[in-house]
Amino acid sequence: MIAGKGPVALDGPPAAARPMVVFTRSFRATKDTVRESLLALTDRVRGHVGADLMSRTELVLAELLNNVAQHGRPRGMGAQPLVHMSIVAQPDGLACSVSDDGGLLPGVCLSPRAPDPATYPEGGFGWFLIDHLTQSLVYFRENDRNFVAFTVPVEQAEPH
Amino acid sequence: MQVTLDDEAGKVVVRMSEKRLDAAIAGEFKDTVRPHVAARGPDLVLDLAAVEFLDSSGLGAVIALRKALPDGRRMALRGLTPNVQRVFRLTRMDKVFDILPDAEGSAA
Repeated sequence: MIAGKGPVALDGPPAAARPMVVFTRSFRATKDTVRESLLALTDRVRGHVGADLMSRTELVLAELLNNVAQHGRPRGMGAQPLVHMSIVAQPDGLACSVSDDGGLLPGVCLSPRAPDPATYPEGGFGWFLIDHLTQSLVYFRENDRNFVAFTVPVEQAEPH
Repeated sequence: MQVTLDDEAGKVVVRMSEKRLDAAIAGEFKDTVRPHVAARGPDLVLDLAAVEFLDSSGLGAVIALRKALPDGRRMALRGLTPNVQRVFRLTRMDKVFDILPDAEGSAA
């Protein structure tokens, strides 16, 4: 376990000697299972990556998974979407892939633009945060499933 | 969910004592606190020093409370931890909230 802040934890022993850090989980997406899954993820991965990278990853996944939980299936139209997620620690960051069998997300969930702060918007930030905090973001839909994959990089360039 | 209200030098301090202000709790947080901010009364301070994780639903709840204030009543934020600060900064909501510097905040 490497304590402290900063993205140093992925250095260290050569790749061959380093244990592979992987977290996978499948669950029906609700606000509560999203929270549980994120807690399990941080429990598993926290000791192997920097605290800042862990926090950014947790935020991105929270936004993505809560979109699925809240908008992936119309209310009363059957079981909540079934999510499968997989997170792998790589030298350049945490590589994440998430798929779900929910519907197409509404456009507002996928807007990469942040709402205007002066209007005191109560939502619409999710995909903006995802887009901002990730690299190599891909989204596609195949066989009635949504697939999203991205890397949360070790080093985050701050805006401005 | 634990939220406390205290009087501090004539201001009402609303202290969120949970580590996570996320989608799972945002609605309950908003419904619990809103009656205390929506009526007329002294200015408020929302103390988030205990909160280690905030997502956009949690942010939306804080914004909803800000919007529930009657004319002339103000609500400042304090005790923002680094992860909470990041969400406010990236969404630029730090530009429209009064955020008290750490020196004025409670023990974080």
